[in-house]
Amino acid sequence: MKFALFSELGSDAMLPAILTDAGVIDISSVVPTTSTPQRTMATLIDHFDSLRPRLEQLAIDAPARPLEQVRLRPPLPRPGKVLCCIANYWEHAQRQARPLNMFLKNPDAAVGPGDTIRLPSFTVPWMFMHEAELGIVLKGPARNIAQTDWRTAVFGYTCMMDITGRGEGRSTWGRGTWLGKSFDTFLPIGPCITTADELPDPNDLWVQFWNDGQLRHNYNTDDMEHRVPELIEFASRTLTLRSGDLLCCGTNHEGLGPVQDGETLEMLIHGIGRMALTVEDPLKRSWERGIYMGQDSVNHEAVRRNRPQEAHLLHDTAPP
Amino acid sequence: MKLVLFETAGAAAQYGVLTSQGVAPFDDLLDGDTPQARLQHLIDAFDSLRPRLADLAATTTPVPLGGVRLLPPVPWPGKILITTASYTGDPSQPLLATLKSPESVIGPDDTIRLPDVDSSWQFLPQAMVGLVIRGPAKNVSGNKWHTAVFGYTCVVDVMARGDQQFGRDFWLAKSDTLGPLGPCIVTTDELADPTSLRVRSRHNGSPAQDFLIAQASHSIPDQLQFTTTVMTLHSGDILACGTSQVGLRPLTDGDNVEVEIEPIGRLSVKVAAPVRSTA
Repeated sequence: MKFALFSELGSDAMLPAILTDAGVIDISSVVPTTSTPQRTMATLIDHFDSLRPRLEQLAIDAPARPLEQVRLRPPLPRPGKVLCCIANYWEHAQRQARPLNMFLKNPDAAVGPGDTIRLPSFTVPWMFMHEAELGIVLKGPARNIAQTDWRTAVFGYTCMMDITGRGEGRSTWGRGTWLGKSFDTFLPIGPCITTADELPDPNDLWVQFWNDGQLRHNYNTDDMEHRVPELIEFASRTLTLRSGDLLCCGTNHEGLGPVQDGETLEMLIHGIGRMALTVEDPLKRSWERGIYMGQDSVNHEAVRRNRPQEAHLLHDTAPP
Repeated sequence: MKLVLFETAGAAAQYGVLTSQGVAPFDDLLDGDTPQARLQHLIDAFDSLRPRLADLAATTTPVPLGGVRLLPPVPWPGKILITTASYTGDPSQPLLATLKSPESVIGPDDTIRLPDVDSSWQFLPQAMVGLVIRGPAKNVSGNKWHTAVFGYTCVVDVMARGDQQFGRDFWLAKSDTLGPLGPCIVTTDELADPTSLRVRSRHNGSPAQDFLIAQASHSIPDQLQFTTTVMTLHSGDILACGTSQVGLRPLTDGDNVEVEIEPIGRLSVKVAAPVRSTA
């Protein structure tokens, strides 16, 4: 089942829905509206098992509204916490294993399908880049979850763009603090949450991302270094995970590139859905378009060009 | 005005005014289904609520402090930002900030539970002035900084010291219970200028940190301007204003840590090391 939040055109109020190929089916008669749409989603997560028969009945009985008649919103408008993995893909190269590590991203930065990513009028970071990531929608409270029990802490999956301010090269601005990830609007989430029963293996998902139609990210989550069960164990060893928190799995950096004024960013995870957002930069800065090919790029063509001594470590595979 | 979140035996957490005689509850004036939501209402409506709160504090028979348990006055901040400002007079590093988890918050007399990691890691109780934010605050210019501040509290940012690669130290510092705060919120009508504040801590009764906000590498207005350049701060968020490294000692099981910032008061917490499995 796929869940979304939507607004009527001209309204800001968000209502819970089942998302189908035909559009949205309003489920607010089944899922009680709470003080915030985020809490409504958390309530749905907590009570999904008991609500499920009525939701499935609604999916059959109630008419779907075409997406042109409504506005999809971020399915998690204000996650309690957003946990993000650091450098968690092998990137199709033989290299030393890296220990798992995470950081927190600003949960107030959430935006959704059709929204605008606004680059800050702040010129210390030299560039802003996209990262396309699988987002795990958590179910809690969950603390000290063993890898074998990882499914108990997972409600579903969504698409997430980890928009990032870079310092130099592709290193995140903010030296160890990861602050360059936390500018307002740098957390696109959507278009929906696909429940975990529909995606039995989150380490076999195909992630694609386009900038103005140019394919940038194109990878499978089977290249993940620390896999989803380990992520749940690692995160819950440090923090209590709550329903509606978001855990983002990191990106495959082979397809990194700049985002700049006027561009349209589009993301698809097969089995979850597709969303598009636009970019606005009040300073109208511009960078070279295309996949980042700098000295520290892990794009295979860039590695062959910049660091030919490492080229024999690459193994090219096409997803899926 | 000093505001506290407290509970008495068998009753739910409620907000009150702290007076010399005890606590005058006023939770029934606030809307919201969680204490944090009620705090946000209090912050946003404070100008109109203040006369009634002052009246209540003067006329109600207060609940004696001996019969209440104080809770963290900001129980679940939407965001906790810890800045890298320093107070040791060393050449200033660029100002940055890191997010701490709202799950890290504990209150007076609660227990810091150290993460179960190998013994090469140390954990340091960094005393800080915490700004309780009035939002939304975005691009707050230096001379408007006070519009973004609702009040002040004491914060202990327990920081991890060890492997700094990719911010692993900052990650461990986000663990549950590593962010004590309290004992109260002093509102800006009682503390207009934080420049005069002196931050002192004691570790197992011995003096530890002692520094002056006036010696900041980056002033509190500069810290507010910088952080709100990056992100919007909302009512009930916490901006913790950095620390001095002088006097810090690593925490061990059974320790006691006290932070005292007048006129906010004293925050005292205990420390427990993880129970190691014998496997």
